[in-house]
Amino acid sequence: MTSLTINGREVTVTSGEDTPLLWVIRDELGLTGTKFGCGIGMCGACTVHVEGRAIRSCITPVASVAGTRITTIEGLDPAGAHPLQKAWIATQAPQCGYCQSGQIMQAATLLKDFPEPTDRDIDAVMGGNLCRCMAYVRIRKAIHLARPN
Amino acid sequence: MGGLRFAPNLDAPASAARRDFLIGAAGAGFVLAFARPGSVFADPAAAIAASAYEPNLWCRIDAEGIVTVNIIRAEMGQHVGTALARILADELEADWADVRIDHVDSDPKWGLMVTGGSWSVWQSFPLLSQAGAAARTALIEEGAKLLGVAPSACTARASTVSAGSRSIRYAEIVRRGNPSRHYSADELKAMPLKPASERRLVGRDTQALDVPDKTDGKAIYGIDARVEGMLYARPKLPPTRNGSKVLSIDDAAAKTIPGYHRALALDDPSGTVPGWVMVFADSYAAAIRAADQVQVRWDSDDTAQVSEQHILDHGAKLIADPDAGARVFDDAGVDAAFAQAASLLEHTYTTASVLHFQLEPVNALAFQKDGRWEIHTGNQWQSLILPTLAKALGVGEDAVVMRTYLLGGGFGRRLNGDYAVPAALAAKALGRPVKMVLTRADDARFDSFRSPSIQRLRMAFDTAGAVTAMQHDACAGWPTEVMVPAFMPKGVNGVAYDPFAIAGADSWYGVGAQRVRALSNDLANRAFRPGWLRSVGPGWTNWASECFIDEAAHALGVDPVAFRLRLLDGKGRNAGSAPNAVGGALRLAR
Repeated sequence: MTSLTINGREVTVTSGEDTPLLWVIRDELGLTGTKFGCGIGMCGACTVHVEGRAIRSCITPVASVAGTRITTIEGLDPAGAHPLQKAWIATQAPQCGYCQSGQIMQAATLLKDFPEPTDRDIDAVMGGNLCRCMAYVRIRKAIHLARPN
Repeated sequence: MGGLRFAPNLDAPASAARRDFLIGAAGAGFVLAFARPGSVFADPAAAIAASAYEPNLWCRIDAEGIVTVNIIRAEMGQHVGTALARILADELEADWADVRIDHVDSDPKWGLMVTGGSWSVWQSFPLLSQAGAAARTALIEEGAKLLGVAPSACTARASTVSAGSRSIRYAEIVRRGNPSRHYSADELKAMPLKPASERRLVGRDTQALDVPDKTDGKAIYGIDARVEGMLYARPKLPPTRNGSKVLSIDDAAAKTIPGYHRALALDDPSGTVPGWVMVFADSYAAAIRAADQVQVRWDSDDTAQVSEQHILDHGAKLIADPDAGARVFDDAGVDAAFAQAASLLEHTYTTASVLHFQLEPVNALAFQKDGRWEIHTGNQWQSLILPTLAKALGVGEDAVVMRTYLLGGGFGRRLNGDYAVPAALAAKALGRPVKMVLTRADDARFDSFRSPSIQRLRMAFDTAGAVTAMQHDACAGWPTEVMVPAFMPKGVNGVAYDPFAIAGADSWYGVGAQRVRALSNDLANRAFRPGWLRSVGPGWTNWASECFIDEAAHALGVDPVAFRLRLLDGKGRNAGSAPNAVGGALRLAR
């Protein structure tokens, strides 16, 4: 039994302590917006926030995040209207869309750390989030569009 | 007909001859399935039942004026539903804000269901335009009656029928009217379409209907499908794609994993997944771990020792035999031109295997409901795998239905629906719903990848350096031979060939007398399951031919671009054809 806060809701989950957070989120809590791509922290499709930091949930044992606040794509903005989400629609960034939850969650921490990111900043921070459809150009454009000012 | 552009005739699905397009009120009892306003693949539980007017197979209009377009193509990032809906909506003169898309299940009434080859838009365009035009005509006729004017006095725009200062919305026509026209399939085909200058949606920029759900986690992919009481499964993959038999299973170590259920060798009457063992658990996390602990011994055939180099070596041997393979083109005078040539050029090209690596690993949820098998998964070619599923399950095709989900990448991998079979077999063996997911590593091992290829290209030149003949021999594993041999046309020597594996060898250059041989690499076909990846053949044919043209230019000492321009004389096999590639080769030269 592990207690944590997910998208502002306190929950106690029964998955084994060494179960990757990804499967707790998807299969036990039924939040399927977070995706399984590689299972070894290499593709970024499973990216969620733990205490506001982007982590790879597929290699994060649930016990290691006990008591923390976790945010998934479903909780990034109550109305799905985070500046990044609006920019993602405005630029029509997604193709198949499978990697996009992870991309957006990673980009959200990028903008916190670098409110006015250069292309180099974006490439450096987003480089671990793979898109097989090659939506990178529009992802970069969307991040610029979502800058706070 | 020189070209090798190949596409099934989507305009005439198998059942078209029997099917008429009914233009008539659907009646109050009609259940509107999966109307999900503003949401393409949202939770199916949110489906709304309502009555609607269904002018034909391809759309319906409800009492609120919502136009739902039925989409039989798979969404994998190309926003195909939006593109197809706009074709229909344009002729329907619908208000785009009222248009929704519904990615339908695999009911036989849809005809051939396949998404690939960049066929969807251009092949569907006539049919969906006519369906929209027929619906508009019926709505105008009924609207005219309600307005008390002649249909010829009416125009339709933005979901409204107008006559002078009077108008009526489509919603109201559906609520108050009773349209009843019957269009046969032939009549629908004869439906007049508006001129391109009158198009209000097609060709204009828009936002894709599937995008918003892909930004907030609401989009539902195959891997997200779930049903009450399902067990999770991960396979133990045998050493070979074909020809492996399970000798023994030892799951002693797996029994220590909490949530582990059992491991089971699948019995597959369809021969799709020979030697597969499925490992079941309460959660997928447990299934991953348990499968790592289950030990399986297999008996495998010789393909367990086959490498890519073996396949290329075998291909080289086949190419060396002048009588082998299908002669796709075989102009008179090829041999004479080579015999009389002032100079010759010959090169051999190889390409390596290419995996799909679509980000969502293949997966499927299978269960039986009301006597029918339901397969929930993302798929690009339902019509191909349904008969195999029926055979595997030992039921008729009408007892299997595939439900449609978003694809986390296609790239051709999900044209081959082999991954649905083991999930179905497992659900049947266990008598309960099974959700099978492959890990990334499993997915890579089980991929139906683009075959390695070997090609030999030869060119003959006269004394002036002009090209007099060209021969292009290409040998690779053939997906169409392995999975759908009935789709294979015959070469001029009567030997069948995979059109996808040789497309691109129909040169757009005028190269004199041309011979193209397509050779099936039978070792590749046995050692793995060759798959369609993106354009398939052009992945190797055009690469080789363009490299070869470059080398020919260098051999002649001329500029490669100038050399190409000289050969783009519109006399090549792929000179372009109506209606979609008019003047192709000559336009390339401009």
